[in-house]
Amino acid sequence: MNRPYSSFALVLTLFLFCATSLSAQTISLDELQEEEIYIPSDKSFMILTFPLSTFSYQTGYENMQSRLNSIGGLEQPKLFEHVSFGVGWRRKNLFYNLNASFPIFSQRKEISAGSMTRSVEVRDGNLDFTIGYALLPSERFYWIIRSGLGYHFREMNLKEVSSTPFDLEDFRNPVGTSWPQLEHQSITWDIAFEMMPKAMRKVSVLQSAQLGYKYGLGSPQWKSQETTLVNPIRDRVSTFYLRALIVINKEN
Amino acid sequence: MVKLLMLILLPFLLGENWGDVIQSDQVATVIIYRKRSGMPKKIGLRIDGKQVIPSLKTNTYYEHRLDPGKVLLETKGDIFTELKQYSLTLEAGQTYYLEAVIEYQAFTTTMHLVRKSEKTAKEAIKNMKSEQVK
Repeated sequence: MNRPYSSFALVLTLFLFCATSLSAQTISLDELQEEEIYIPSDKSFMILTFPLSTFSYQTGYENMQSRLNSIGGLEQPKLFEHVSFGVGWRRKNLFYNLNASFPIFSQRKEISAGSMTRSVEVRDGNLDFTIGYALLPSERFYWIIRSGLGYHFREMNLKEVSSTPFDLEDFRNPVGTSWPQLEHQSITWDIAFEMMPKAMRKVSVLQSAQLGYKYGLGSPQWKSQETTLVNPIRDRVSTFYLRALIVINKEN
Repeated sequence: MVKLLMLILLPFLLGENWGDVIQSDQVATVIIYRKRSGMPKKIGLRIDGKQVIPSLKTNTYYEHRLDPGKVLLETKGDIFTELKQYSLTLEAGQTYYLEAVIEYQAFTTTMHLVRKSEKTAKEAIKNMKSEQVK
């Protein structure tokens, strides 16, 4: 699995560390400061962004899996790493979020049978709108329960390649087989639990963590843009996710 | 005559606390407290460059006696903790109340010190654990 985000996160960490450590002004405590620390206002605007990743674990697409079992037990990948971004608004204890998650790299699984290697490559992505409410009173954190609707898609490519030599002068004689690209799109219902620190400055960079679950509303058919599918099958989305986001928060 | 007799007997009646009564007029008292809210994070307090509290615990207040004059207070933890510096001018016989407030940002944590009134601070610390700082 490719992890380019980890190095980006490290660079950003070092940058933030240097930026915050360069100077430390001495603050006088000779006067009372009952209201000196910033108290969050009733409204705020948030930009939600990577480089932190979203990890999801798929437990759906069971009918497609049973078809793949028939060609040698090829398994769909279950664990995905995405980048997420979006925008959010807060009004007192209510949170509204529009969020998108995309994989930069597809996830791949393969099996070998003799000289043949059979592989499946999958790309998942989603878009969701959720409304959250800060449930538990806390001075430093929002503990938020979220629910909403979303759109989830999956693209899947199947191919079988032989390890026999392939002549680059002769593209007319391929050494493998490729199936049509398959697509599945579904509306999802979303529930999540989120923890986010409260802002103590007018503009601050915070970190949010969400643990959630998406469930398909209905079982849409698999489709293909490349051909007509005969004996189409239906599947339901079911996925757990852990989403970590950098939140650039501006109190209004 | 009675007053003179009481003055002579007072040290014997107060026992070990007699030294504190004399000392409290000559030193200033700083009470630093941290409320229960927040996640465990090791952030210490230094006064004039000397580490006096290695880690400010939640739901705890610390009582520290210091000589009068201007002191430099610093809160600092690991490399992901922002260094904060504060100055406080102490007067003999006075008590100063400081609340340690932790701020969580992405990748960095900050421990702020906030001067509080006696009334606010006493209300906050009444159910907290107490630790004496030497």
